Amino acid sequence: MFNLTRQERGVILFLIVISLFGVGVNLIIKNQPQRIEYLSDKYEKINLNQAGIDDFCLVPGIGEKISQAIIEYRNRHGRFKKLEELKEVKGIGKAKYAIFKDYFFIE
Amino acid sequence: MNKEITKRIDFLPVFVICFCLGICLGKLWRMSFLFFYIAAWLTAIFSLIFLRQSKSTLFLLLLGILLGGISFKNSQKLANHHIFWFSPYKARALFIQGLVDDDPVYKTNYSQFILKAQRLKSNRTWHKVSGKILVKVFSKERFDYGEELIIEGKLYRPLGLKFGEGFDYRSYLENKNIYSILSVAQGRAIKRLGTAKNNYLLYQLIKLRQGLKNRFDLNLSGLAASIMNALILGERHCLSEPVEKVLKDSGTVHIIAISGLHVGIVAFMALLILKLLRLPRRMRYFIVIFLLLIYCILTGARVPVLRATLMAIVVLAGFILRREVNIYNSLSVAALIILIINPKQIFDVSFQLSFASVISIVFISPKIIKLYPGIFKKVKYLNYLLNAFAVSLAAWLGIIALIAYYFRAITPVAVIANMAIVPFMTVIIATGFSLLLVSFSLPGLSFIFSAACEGAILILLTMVSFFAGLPLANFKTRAISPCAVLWYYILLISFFLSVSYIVNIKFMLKYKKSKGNE
Repeated sequence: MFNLTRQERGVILFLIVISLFGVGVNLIIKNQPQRIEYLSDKYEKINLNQAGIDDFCLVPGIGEKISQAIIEYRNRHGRFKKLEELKEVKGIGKAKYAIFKDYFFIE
Repeated sequence: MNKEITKRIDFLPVFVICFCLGICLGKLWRMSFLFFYIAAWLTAIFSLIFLRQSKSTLFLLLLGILLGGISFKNSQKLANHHIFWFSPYKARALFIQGLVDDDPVYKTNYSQFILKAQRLKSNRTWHKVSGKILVKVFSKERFDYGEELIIEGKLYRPLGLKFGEGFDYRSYLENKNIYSILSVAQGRAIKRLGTAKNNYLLYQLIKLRQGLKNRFDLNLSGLAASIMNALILGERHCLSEPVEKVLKDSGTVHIIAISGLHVGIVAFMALLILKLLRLPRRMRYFIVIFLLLIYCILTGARVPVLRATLMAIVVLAGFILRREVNIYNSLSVAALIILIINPKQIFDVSFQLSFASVISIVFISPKIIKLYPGIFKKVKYLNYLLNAFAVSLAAWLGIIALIAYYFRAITPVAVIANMAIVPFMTVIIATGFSLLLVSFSLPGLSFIFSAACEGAILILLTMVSFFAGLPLANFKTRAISPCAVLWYYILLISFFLSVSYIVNIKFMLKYKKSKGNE
């Protein structure tokens, strides 16, 4: 009808579908930013209350010793409630906390 | 005439296999360069003598083996003033002058780049040197491509493993012609001498890459920007460790290596835009070849993207010359060009994975498809699903032994995960390119595409985490020997060749029976 090839129709449809999807996501970001933030943290950072030794070792500067210390602290004191509690873990002082804090989140 | 062409096309893959064998022979056999060189000349003379006879083809194949050996031995020869000869096993403090030869990578506590060494100061005297050094600077300083520096640091040779012990960092660097590392601790002297005219085109492309990276950083959240930078610009180091781990656990880490999928999308988008501009067909192909080369350099020209680009160029050249292109032929051309430039690439894990996966898809997947009962092929969507399964299974079978050898891991979930992730990746990459185009042309509308990218990436990560979390998704293996890897491939090829043979015989019998009934 409009002299469009199948490929051209496909591209127009793709752009429209992506725009629709984008507007929908944009609305969610506006209304529930904390949900998106939580999802981003979930994939980008390590959950301090669920991580194992392997997960802690992913953080540059954390080896098996510090990972073990974090897990021991968690077993002794229960779940972390604040990120600041990391400072109390053996082997992590104020200086190391400042480096590590960006790698963790608390659910 | 046609028969002649077919013969010539079949020759190339065999020649490339011989060339690869020659490189391996050069590595394993301690014969000198001179031996290979003289043998190659003698073979060339015999080949010329028997040129009219068909046995000269055998001499040509032998020449392929010897050329492989020559190019490997030649690549091993280092100049007398190469930095390698000044690099001790135990780190030694000295000054080095050179040019920043790539786009520096910034990590949490250090930055890393390749330095093209020019001079070295040792025992109070400057020596002229050549070669590349991997420089690690443990400070927050930033560097630019082409910058001329004098750096004080500790020079050493990287540690290596014995042959056959899996991933070896020294060999990995040597395959990239890097033999030394310079470690620069905080507070060490770094003198900037200005920017030299190293390579103007590369300089501009690195600037363009930084510009595109900034576009993503500006329009997307940290997580989405890091993934888009990895997916579209090949900036893998931007990814956070948890994201990389979940990709590895689900067997989908290949999606962040720029490869055929990305090159295909770039070519498709470019062809479409050029078609809308009503340009003549041949001119479109020439422009797309140029754009693909630009994209290849822009994304770092690593082996997978180089392979895909070279294959695409061969296919497009076939369209320009109106010649039918054989996929094995285009693969062979890509492999030959990469190996002529650097024969040591054949021992590089990314070269092996890239070629093994493509060869498996081309060779094994049609044979798997042949095994499906005919009734499945009649249902359109089921057929599509089964074909996707065959491709995913073929790719997995093709690289499983290499993954187990280098990374001591097996990810069975990759077969199903890739069936879902790869088609979705096409959408994400196309959305990412659309965001770049819109952010330049209609910045006001970019919020729609950036939101779409954010949403698509969160869906991708949810899918990947789901697959990584499935029972028996991945497991660690014990170290396996190179011989075991070789045996695996011999058995794999033999199995699928026999399957194909049996299927063909069955088909012939069925055909004869139906003819007989008629």
